[in-house]
Amino acid sequence: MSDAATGEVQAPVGAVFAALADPTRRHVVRMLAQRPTVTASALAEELPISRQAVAKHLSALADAGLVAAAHEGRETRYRLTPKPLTEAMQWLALAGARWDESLARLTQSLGNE
Amino acid sequence: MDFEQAEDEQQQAVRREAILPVDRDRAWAALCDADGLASWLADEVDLDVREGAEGTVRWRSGEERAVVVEEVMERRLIALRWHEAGGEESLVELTLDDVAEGTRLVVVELPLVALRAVAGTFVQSASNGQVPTHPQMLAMVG
Repeated sequence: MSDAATGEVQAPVGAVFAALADPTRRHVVRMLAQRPTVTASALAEELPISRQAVAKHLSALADAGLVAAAHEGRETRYRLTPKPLTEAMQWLALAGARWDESLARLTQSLGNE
Repeated sequence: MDFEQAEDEQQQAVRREAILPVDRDRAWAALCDADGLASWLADEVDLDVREGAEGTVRWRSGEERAVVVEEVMERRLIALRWHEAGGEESLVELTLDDVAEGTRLVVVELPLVALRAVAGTFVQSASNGQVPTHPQMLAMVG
């Protein structure tokens, strides 16, 4: 959790995809993107799940480096740390570009036969 | 925000498809051995396309990946894992099916750790407790 508080979790791209494999966590990420910081209780009010369940999802997102927690008095406020998302998107873009090239080679070589 | 709403179908994997202007046998020939794969997948392919086999693929850029063949279904599917030295391992699935114009090749690639996360959810909910095959897993994230 202390790592998450500094927002300096170094999570590999795969961990980001793993965290985002859950539809509720994707929803939480979208909600976090719409406001600077939020508490688990505030998120729970807008979701059909308990505060405990929200906290669990936030913790999973923090492990993937997507969310940072900051303690303000008795409250814990969460914010989105989108850098790993950018890295995951880069992975997708690079892997996609490679497949585009490979498939273009394949269709060309088969078309020329 | 509009663009975030539009991301509801969040992309979890690379998915590409190509319509190959050949029949299924010819398309399979481009997948089923090192020579076939070397004509398009990479510049050099050193791999026996059979389950459990290990090999390497290389590109002219100098990039090299270690490959393990996970699954082979004759004329239908090849699943493999690959990774660069020190890089993240991903699963690649190549699937063929017949279409009017020839043969469709669908490619799906995703980091293995992400697949395990999805598979975990699936296995928990599966009553028979059997681990699903790759196409079923990948259908969930595609």
